[in-house]
Amino acid sequence: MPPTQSGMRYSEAGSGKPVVLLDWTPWDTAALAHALATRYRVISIEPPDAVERAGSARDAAEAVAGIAEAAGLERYTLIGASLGADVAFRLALLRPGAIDTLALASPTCVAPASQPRRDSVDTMLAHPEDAAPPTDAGRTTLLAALAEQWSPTNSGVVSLLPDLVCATLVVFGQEDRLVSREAGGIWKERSPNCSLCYVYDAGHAIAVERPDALASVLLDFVERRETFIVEQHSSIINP
Amino acid sequence: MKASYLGAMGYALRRDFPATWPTPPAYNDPGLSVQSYQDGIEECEFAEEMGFEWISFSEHHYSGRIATGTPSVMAAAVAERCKKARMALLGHLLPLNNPVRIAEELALLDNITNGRLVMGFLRGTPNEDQVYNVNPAEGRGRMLESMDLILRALTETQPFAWEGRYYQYRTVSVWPRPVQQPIPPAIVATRSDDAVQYAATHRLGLGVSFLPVDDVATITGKYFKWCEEAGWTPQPDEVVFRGSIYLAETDEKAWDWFHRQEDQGRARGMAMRSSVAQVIQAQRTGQEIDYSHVFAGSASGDIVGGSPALTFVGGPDSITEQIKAYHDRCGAGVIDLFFQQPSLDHRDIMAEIELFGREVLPRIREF
Repeated sequence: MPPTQSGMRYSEAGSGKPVVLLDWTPWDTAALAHALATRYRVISIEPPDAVERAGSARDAAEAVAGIAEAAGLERYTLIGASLGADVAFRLALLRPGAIDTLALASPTCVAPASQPRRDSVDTMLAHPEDAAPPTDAGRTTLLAALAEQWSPTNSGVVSLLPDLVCATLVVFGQEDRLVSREAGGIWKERSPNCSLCYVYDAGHAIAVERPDALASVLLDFVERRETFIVEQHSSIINP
Repeated sequence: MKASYLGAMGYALRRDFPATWPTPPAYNDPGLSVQSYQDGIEECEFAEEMGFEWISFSEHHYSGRIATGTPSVMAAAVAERCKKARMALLGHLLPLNNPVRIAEELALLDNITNGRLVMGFLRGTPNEDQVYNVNPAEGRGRMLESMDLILRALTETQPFAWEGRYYQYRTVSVWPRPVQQPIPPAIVATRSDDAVQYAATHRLGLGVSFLPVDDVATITGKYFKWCEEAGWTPQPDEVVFRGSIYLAETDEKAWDWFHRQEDQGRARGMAMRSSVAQVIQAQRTGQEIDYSHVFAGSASGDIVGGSPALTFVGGPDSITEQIKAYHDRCGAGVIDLFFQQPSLDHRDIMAEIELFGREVLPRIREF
């Protein structure tokens, strides 16, 4: 699709329950959208294409809401990754009636690390030596600039967490260097319906380092929400 | 320097065991087994009385030589009798166990000892991969992930899920929290570079076992270098060396005893069939295995392996010098000692502890 007024492009795939995906990391991680599209109607929205017309994080959230409404979605699952998770969080607060389920992978708006470098592969990954750098340098620079423009004050965001009432999953890479170690606990403690998950051997860009693990937990949560904690796999070896 | 007594809880008639591992349960008489544990606990109590600062426990399976398959249970029992010494779990074999269960046991032990726990993480010897059916090729990965999960479980204040490579949990919420915050002292017991590096980058202690002083110095040298690169300096208690010991009143008496053991073939330790040992080693190192060449071998079991010679042998002066070498050249601040050699009985061990406490311990404290 061509960019909207806010400079956001979006694409659509799959059918079924609607899912809006904001996978805003420097890498092209279409695998997550593809995995979701095997079960759901996925509207994958790109970040604003220029800092100048991006406005605030709230403006970006409104723009995402506008795209979802234009697509005819009244109630949907919202998934955000990295900077997309921060915008998804704001959208869930702005449109609580529209969000059925919320999944935030690597949000940075709560307990951010001091001076995180989003334009450095070393800070985005647990094992930078094992991954190819992002192919689109412009996207990396743009996301770093947007993060700078939208950087929230931690205390202000934390005070909003009790208002997050929908079923929420917050996922962090065990070695996420863009947030402090306490970030997950704060989300879990302050948000009334929040589940918390750590993905081992991953940094901030979980979809780059453990794509299958991230897709697995997201799909499970979207399907079963807070009951995703109940084991369903058989452990019988030889029936 | 501090001394630690390894509470091995060896079965009284371990001298009669076959050389192979596992030791068949048929060798165990329950009545004698009960007495062996009572003797072992008494040795721990006496070691504390003689000045040992730590009592350690080690997870070993399917043998009465070190008869503590569940070291937390043993540590809990000894902690009720020893009220001053640190209880050092050196340690749990991480690839074999549920890491959340380990975290729970450690947190509980730290509570019931009122903050006297030392935690130890290790992979285990090749034979122990067989205990709970762990693929030897996965031991390294399971150990590294386990350490991350245990440390997270002991420090996280809210329930969480874990999406690992080897472990998946959807609800982890360890109760109680450790008394020692943020975590009890932790030792990574290893010889491998990746685990040494893990200890250095995570600001954990290092434990090395049963190697000659030159080899230990090489390992601790890397550790100190990587700690410096990570911006910290380990304290003396954070470098532990475990060795086996035979102490007598004089060097001559000690070596006489040692040579008698060799003559009687008692210097051997746990060993496995060569075919099994080769396959475990191949899987651990990622080598191809040609099963067409695997045969049962000889009627006696065609065994390989066994414990190396004792680390420390001699009278008080020699033992003090031998331990000093590990302090001076390897930076070891705690020496963890395995006294229960197979041919020794409870009375022998008590005499050795007394001699060590009287003649050696006061001198190594000065290092």
